[in-house]
Amino acid sequence: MSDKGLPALVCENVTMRFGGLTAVSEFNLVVPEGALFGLIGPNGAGKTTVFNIVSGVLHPSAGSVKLFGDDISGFSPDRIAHRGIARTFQNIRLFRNLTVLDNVLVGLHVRREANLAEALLALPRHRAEEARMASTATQLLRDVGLEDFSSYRASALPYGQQRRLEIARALATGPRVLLLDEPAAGMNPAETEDLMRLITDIRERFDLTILLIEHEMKVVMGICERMTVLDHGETIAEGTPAEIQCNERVIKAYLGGGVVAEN
Amino acid sequence: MMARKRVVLSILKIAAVCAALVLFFLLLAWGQEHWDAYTVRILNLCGIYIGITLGLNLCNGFTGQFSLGIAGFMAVGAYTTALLTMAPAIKQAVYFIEPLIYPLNSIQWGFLPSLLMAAIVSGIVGFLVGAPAIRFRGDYLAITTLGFAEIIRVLFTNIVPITNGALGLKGIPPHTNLVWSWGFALVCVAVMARLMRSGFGRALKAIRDDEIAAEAMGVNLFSHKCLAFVVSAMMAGVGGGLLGNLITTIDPNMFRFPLTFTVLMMAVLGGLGSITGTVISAALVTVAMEALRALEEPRVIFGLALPGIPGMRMVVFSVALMMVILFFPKGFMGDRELSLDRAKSLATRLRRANTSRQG
Amino acid sequence: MTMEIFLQNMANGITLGSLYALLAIGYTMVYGILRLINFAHGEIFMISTYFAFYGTAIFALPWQISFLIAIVLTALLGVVIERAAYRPLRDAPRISALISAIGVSFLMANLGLVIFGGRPKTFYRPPIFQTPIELGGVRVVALFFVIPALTAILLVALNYIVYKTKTGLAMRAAQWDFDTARLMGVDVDRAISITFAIGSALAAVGGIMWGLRFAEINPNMGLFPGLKCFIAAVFGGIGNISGAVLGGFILGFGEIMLVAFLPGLAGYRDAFAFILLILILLVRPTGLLGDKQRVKI
Repeated sequence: MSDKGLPALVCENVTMRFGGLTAVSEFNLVVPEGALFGLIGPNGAGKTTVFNIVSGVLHPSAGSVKLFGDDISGFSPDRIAHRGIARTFQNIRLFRNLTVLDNVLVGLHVRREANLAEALLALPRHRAEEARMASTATQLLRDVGLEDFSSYRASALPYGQQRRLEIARALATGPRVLLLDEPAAGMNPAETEDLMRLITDIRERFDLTILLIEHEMKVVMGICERMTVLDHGETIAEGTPAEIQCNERVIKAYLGGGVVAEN
Repeated sequence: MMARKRVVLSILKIAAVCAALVLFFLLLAWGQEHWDAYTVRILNLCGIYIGITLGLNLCNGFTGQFSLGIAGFMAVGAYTTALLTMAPAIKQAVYFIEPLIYPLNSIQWGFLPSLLMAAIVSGIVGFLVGAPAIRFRGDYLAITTLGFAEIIRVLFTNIVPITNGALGLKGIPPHTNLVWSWGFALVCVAVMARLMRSGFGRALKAIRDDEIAAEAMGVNLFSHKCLAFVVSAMMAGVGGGLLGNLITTIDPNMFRFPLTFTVLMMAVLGGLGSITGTVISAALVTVAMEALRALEEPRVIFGLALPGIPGMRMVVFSVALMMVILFFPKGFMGDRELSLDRAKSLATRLRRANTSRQG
Repeated sequence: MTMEIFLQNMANGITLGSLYALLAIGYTMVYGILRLINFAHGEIFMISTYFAFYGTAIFALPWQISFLIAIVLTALLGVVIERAAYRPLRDAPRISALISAIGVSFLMANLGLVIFGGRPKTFYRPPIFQTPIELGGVRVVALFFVIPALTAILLVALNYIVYKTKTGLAMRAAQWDFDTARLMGVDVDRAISITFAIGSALAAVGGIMWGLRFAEINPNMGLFPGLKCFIAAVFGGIGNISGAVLGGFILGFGEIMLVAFLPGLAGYRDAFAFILLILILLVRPTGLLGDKQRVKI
């Protein structure tokens, strides 16, 4: 690829103001290609706001977001998805009334080639594409361990599996950068273990760059290579898990004694 | 061997479907001549309302864009078709306040091109209404589209040189017959079935379930919502055209909110998001509408003269709608479909249950 | 246009604006608390006029008592509708509640047709309201002063209830969030019932004055004045009482002035409100006095 060497994702001086409130201020981030990068911070620190900016749900008040060198700030979410950023949501947002398989197929819809007329007339290209999409979707479900539930309604899945389905759906859009918003929230320790394996696994298999928001320290410290710590919309530290763990400011602002002891 | 068998089977299947269709339409063509006028009229209305209700369901049910503008699109289609099919001489007689403008006053098209034109014109109007309106959500979309339909009606009442104003149009050629109306219904069913089995249909349903997630998965909200709006308006437009050429008289006041309410009720009763539910419900409600007309006409039962009660019919239907929305909020079918496979699996389950009970 | 006609139009605009404002308040209060267009509000307004009509015409009650009973009955009707048709759907998708509201609206309009008959009835107009009053060389009947004055009094009273009483506090708390309000000890169901009672009572006052002003009532008079008043509420900023009043006046005035100054467009009068709605939603979706609301992702 021609853009080899460029960082996968860059945020330059990104600022987000809601009326008088500054949710994120002068945020900078460089995520190298292939990295598994963490974004942590206490509640209300502005992590999800950063995700919403990167994925186009919000348009930054100032600053820019670059994907492999291309400025994508101000793009609509669907354009950004086309460019190769996919995401999951903190409070799960599946297509509740669609089947598990259809949820993944919606993700694949971005990459379709057949047009509406071909679909309505069931022309060969559309049929072939549907067949191809169905097998890709099934494979993706297998990757996240949901192949047995493909005909269930998404809302019928247990919580942990809904999170996995969100990941499969995001992968279906063919991303180069994957944003995971608290993927382990609400999971028990065993599920969290599985999830961590899944995340490192998909990074290899799909050649992904992953940016991860997480509350569960074990996950972030266990799998992220580097991380940025946000507090009150400002970056207070950046570095490897080991560096972050002994950073005074971080401990003071966020971790506190109890959580550090856990590690 | 297997592959060849499958090809043969699928050819047989297609042939069977074609044969069934041909038989169906032959029956309709025969019925048009031999069934009594009342039956034919109701069956025509059934076909037309099936198509229109499917259109409404595409927008309101499958895509979750709750629009109340269907009567406006029906008006556009009805006037387009009527103006194109009426004979110039009749037009001259009807437009006695102000003459109809050129070239509409001198042309007369066949029914099919007129209906296609109705589809195009109402599709364009659907886009013009939809493009600004789909930025709104929920009840705001509902009230805005209702407003657009009202604006269309007011325009039709006032632009006399084109629409003949409040007097409406009379003497529209009665082109609509069973083959046309059921042909329309069938086309609508086919379009909906194809659409819902494609990625486009899944994207529409995704928008219904979660707009923000759909957009994040790369679904362009504007183009997909417009798609739903335009196709929905086209179905309503053609349906309106068929309706006009069935009853041969139209005026702007036919296309007020109660008409939208009727179509909405059909869709809600059948299940917002079910094609088969819509078909069944639209047909049943149409028949019931005509049957309950009796409630509003004075009649004599056992020598007892009962006065007709105007409004009673809509009371019955409003109560039915309320009951369904309160107690079966998803309608008869919800967003499920009735299909052969489903019937088969139901049958096996029943059989299994039976055998286990006996055993 | 002579001064006299101009003043007459002003008077018409103010009275119609007052009536719209009274109805718009009901919409804005219900929308504020339930996020629901109470489609049935127009029919509540319509039925209130029949309550008053039957009180004077059939039961031969003095008009003061008859009007009072009509207001109380209408308030009750509003509460009953909320209980029966909206409360069971409070946790359902909002569209279900909207369909239910449309259903109630049609049910009442058609029940009205069945019970009251389709022919318009003549509303009893006590002579006191028809007393001519001379003002700056123009003679108008007392009603033109009564309507805006009564509206103003009711507005003051409503503002007192909403901002100065515990009930009002409960209603405002419920507007923000049911669960939080409950945790704070607010009886949300009661707050909603009171909202419907107040909104419907104001609609009844509007209905009775409508009857006094236009003399004729019929079962179909609810839907479109109703929708227009909802638009007035949106125009002013939904959920905001002052906004509803402002919107009501702008709409009422606008309609009268449109017909007075541009008689060529009189035929478009019914579309005026909807055009206004679409414009305001495109330019300023929160209405003139509304606050911005965000969806949490």
